[in-house]
This record gives sequence, C-alpha cells and structure tokens, in this order.
Amino acid sequence: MTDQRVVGLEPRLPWPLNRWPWWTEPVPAERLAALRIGAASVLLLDIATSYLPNADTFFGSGSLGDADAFALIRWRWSLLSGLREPAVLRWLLIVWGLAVVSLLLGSVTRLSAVAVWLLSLSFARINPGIENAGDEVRGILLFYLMLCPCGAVWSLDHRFRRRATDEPIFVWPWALRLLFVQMALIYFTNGLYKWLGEPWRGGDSVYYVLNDLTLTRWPYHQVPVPYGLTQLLTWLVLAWETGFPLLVALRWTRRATLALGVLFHLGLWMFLELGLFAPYMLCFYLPLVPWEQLSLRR
Amino acid sequence: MKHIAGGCLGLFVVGQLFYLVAANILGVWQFASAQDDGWPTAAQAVTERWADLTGQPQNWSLFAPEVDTASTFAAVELRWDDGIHPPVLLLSDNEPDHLDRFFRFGRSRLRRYESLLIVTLQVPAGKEEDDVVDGWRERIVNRVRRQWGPMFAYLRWRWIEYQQQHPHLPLPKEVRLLARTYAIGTPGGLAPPLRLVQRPLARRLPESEPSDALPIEAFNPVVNEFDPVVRSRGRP
Repeated sequence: MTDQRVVGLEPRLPWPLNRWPWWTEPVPAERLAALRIGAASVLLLDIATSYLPNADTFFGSGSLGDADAFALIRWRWSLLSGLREPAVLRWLLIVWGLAVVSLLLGSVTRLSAVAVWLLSLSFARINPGIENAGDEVRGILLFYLMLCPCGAVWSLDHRFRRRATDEPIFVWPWALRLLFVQMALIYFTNGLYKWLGEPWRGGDSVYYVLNDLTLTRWPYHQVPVPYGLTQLLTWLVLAWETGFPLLVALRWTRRATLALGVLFHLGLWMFLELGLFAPYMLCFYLPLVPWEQLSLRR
Repeated sequence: MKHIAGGCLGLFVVGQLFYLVAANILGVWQFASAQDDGWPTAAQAVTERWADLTGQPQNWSLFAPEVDTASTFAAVELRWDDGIHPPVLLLSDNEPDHLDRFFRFGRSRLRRYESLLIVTLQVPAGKEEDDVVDGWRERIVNRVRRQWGPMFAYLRWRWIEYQQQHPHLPLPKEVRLLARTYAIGTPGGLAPPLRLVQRPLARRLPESEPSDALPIEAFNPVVNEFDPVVRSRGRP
C-alpha cells in the first residue's frame, strides 16, 4: 500500500477499527467521484424540475414556506431564515444550482460542496413541509461529500492540477464506509418499524400502497397486481430490509441483496410518485461499483 | 499538525458510528416501548441536536409501521356570506380529474405538504360514526395545534392564487380546509366503486383573526361546528 497515491487526510482510528482493512485500506478515488457525480446530477435535476419552477409557490412572502409557516426548532439552522423576498430567494436557488454544476464538474470541488450543502440545508429548513426522506438522504450525501476529497479524480480540479498524472489515485475509505453503515441502518430501521405494523406482518401493505390514489402513478385497476403477489412483495420487503445488515455482511448473499435493493428502488420510482427519493437512495449504491476499471481500460 | 487532524478525524468517524446506531435504534426502541423518559430520551435529545446541526435526521420509516387504508386529498372551500357569491371548491392539483384513468408525474412536494395538513377520518368496519367522532375531534385539534402554521400558509396561498384569477372577488368570510377521502377496497376482495367522503377539518376567518387563539379553527365533528384552538405556550 505504500506506493499508492492516497489523497486526503488519514483518520487515526482506535481499535478495533484500525485492525479492520475495510476501514483502513484506501479505495480507488473513482468510487467517491461516482458518488459526487451521481448526487450532484440528481440534485441538479431536482432544482431544475421541482424547486425552480415552483420557487414562488414554495418560498417567500405569501408562499407555502412563508416565514410564519414553520419555526426553526432546537438546533436547526438556516442561512435563509427570515428571508421573505421572492426575487432574492429565486436568485439564491439559481446560485444553488450553479454550485451544484460546479460540484458535478469537480471545479473548486471542496468549496462547491460546502456551498451546495449549506444552501441545500438552508432551503430545506425554510420550508420543511415540501421535503421528504429523499431530501434527507440528499443532505446526508452532501454532508460527507463536503468532508472528503470527492474531486480527486473525474474532475476539472484533477485535470488542471499541475502534477496531474495517469497513475491510480486512492482515497481513505472512512466516508464511504460511514455511508454504507448509514444505508444499512436506513433499511434496518425501516424493517424494524415495519415489523411493528400489522399490515406488514399480515402481508397487506404493498396492496394498500399500490391502491393509494395520492401516491400511485396510475390507478391500481389499470395495471392490477395479483393480491398474492402483493403479499409476497410485502413479506419480501420486510425480510430484505430487516435482514439487510446481515445479508450484505455475508459474501454469498451480498450481490443478490444489493441487486434486490436496486430493483426495489427502481420499482418504487416506477409505481409511486415520491419525487426523487429513489434516485437519491440509488446514489448509495454508486460507490459499490468498480468504476476504477473504466479508468484502467482507458 | 497532521497527527492532530488525523486524530480529530478518527474521533469524528467513531462519533458518527455511535450516532448512527444510537439515533436509529433509540428511535425504534422508544416508539415500540412508548416510553418518554429515562436515559434513552436524554440520549435521543443529544442525537437530535447533532442531527439538527449537521442535517442528518435519522429514524427511517417509509410506509411504516402503518399504511393508509384510504386515499385522502386536501381541498379548500371559499365561502362568502353576502348572498351573492356561492361557495367555491378548490381541489388539490394532486387530485386527478379522472380517478379511474390518470398518470401522475411530479407535484410530489405539494402532495407532501398537503399530507401534513390532512387527517383521514374513516369509520372502522362494525362501528357507527357516533362511536368514533370523539376520537376524530381529538385528532383534528391535535393536527391544528401541530400544523397551524402550514395550514394558515396553505389556506392563504390557495386564496391568493384564486384571487389572482378572479380579481373582482371580495375577501371570503371563511376559507375551509377539507379532507376528501376515498376508501381502499379490502385486500383480496372485489374493488368497491370509488366513493368520496368529504369532511371539513379546519378553517380560517380572514376578516377576524383572533389574538388569544390560533388563526385556524378546528372542526368539531361532534357538534358539526368549528372551535377556536387556544394558543399553547411556546410554538410546537
């Protein structure tokens, strides 16, 4: 490992983490870059299709996010707190979008990531009523991207760096490992809550969700899914979510578990209108793909 | 210097690990045990503050533990008492024109917002409405207490939007928030015909906003009238 070029700060981890290669061995920087590009792409789509076209509806005086609609409680903060002028907020949305483009291209990457995270959280908190779990996932992804060298490769920063070479670049794995733990806990906690609900144990939940006219892309009867299949899907989701931490820890079930995760999110995206929840969640899977092989081929 | 920075990063990584596990497991444990005191509550207060500071809320529960057994849309009714203008019903943009054939794309943020405001009021099988209206009243008052801010913003926004298209209209006497509910058929059974049940939940009186009560009144289904909701100390 000594001849590898590793970018970023090496954390001094205590035992047992410092004896665990999963936490200590550098990983190809392409994994982190893929996460950056994926998260920034989804966010750019989000800003362009849901925030900017509805800027006056969601933010500012007389809107759904007017200053008197939501209070900032506990330690929640927003740089935009109290700001009510719609034109100013619209411009700030554009600034947010430009910062995302900069992050996507890897230009002044660290600074761009900080700006994107600050604006993302600030907009989310002046109108939390329009935010869903996908937006919370977005905030978490950006938090880690801001803290790690996500522009080490596949970025303008790398291309124009004076010492830029074609040698493989690695990063310390801590951010990707924490994100993986985060992903596992998202599924596991979801699974535990589902076990507490009778419709999940009884096998009825997927049927009810697919029949919810407020969520579905089309009426259930237009593309009816047999009730027996909805029952099987209910129990499959319950078992997969609860078992996720164990199933990904075991080598022989890992690929199937992750593949099921990708299919689960694609299915949610296809059948339900949940905004960009599915694409944001799929970003967690990007660092698991061996993108560095693309760089090696070239 | 690098040594110290590496140590700080190591501490951060370990702290994050503890935070992620604690925030998620404590949330489920508290929900399942229905306890609201003791060390788990104190620990959760710490994790919540870290979540607030860093924007990492946890406690994930998509469609869990319960799922809705009915589809409920928000709607707004504008009412005048001048004998000239009849009531106007404004449906949500999220409610399809034809519930038996539609394709939905977008507007999830508006749906999310409206879901904060509405309460689904259903009569369980084997019961009469009179058996459950007391519970409905409590749920409506609780919702108004928790969400009067977005309710107020939503009712005002719907009126402003409508007024821009009808500038000649005077200020309405009442702006009502309604819940339009369609029951979902029993699993495995024949799908019932779509039947709408529309009920008021709350209202705003734009001309007379009280100082000692919330600017949103809660519908009382026991007596079919609207009740003022007293302001609680400190905003929820």
